Amino acid sequence: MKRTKRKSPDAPPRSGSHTEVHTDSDLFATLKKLTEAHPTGGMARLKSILASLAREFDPSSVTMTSTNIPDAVHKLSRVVDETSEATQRVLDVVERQKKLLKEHDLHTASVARLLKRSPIDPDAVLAELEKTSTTVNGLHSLAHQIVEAQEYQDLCSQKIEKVIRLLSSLDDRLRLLFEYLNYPLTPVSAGEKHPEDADIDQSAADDILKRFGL
Amino acid sequence: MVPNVDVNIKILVVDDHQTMRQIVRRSLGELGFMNVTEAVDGMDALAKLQKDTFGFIISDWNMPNMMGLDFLKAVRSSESSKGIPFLMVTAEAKKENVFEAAKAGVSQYIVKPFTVASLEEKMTAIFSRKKPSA
Repeated sequence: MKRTKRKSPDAPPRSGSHTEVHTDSDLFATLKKLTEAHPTGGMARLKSILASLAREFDPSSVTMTSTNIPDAVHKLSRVVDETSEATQRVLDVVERQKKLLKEHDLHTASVARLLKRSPIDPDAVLAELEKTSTTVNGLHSLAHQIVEAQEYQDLCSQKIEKVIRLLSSLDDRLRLLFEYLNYPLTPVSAGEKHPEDADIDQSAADDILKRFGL
Repeated sequence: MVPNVDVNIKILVVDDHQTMRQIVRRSLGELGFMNVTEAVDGMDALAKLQKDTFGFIISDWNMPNMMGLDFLKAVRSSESSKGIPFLMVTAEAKKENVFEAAKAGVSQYIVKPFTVASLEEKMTAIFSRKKPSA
């Protein structure tokens, strides 16, 4: 993030020259200076902001609609597991579908052969059609299992939404803290990236490879 | 189908995610390639390369223990494996990464999510060249 000289209205008064901070050690030095210069008000304000940040680690802050940092880590790990399990289930179902489709092809081919015989043996045709019906029912059942495997999406999105709320809340309070310390950050739009950090698509990757003769 | 490639070619698929390995294996299966060995990361893959001979490597970029780029460099630095066609697969494609991979000798680079058709296209591009990049 870009740092600017924007002054927060909540920032404590500073005497002397304008203080700029650009590194972590600068930040801590500024913090020390501010708390020493304003032992009562400055420290109280700082403690208040830090206390609100610390609440994000408090187990009691986990509710139906909110989470805290340790819980968020656990929730995101679960999301990884659940998406992986769901994908695995779908891949397994697709493999079973492929087998059933092969069986179905064999049965329908068999029905076609039986119908070409003269005289036609109705019992044999019916027996093959029953097998076809069984494989079709099996395919319907597997299609339903694919639908069921998508249940993870709802549960995962709830977990992710809680983590997003937590990050948003942390972002707000950290910005407050930085501004208080006269360490303001330039607002960055959601999803905005430095051009060098931006993801590229396949055609852009291909263009680069072409330069290397690939 | 991929022209100029024996369907029995031994392919090494390297990815730390089992699901992704399965998707790649399945995609290769769709193209007729069934002789697939899996490795969970670059270290595991290097161990497998020492024990066996492979004709093609498909590797993820982002892996624990050894990143795909380091694995590629290790493959290219070994006399026995430097000529093996190497397809890098990545979810986060950055210009710099593609440059690095190209400089390190990657044969092609594919951005996730990919289709069987795009895998076929990349394999065709790799194997239609007279010599794999080294």
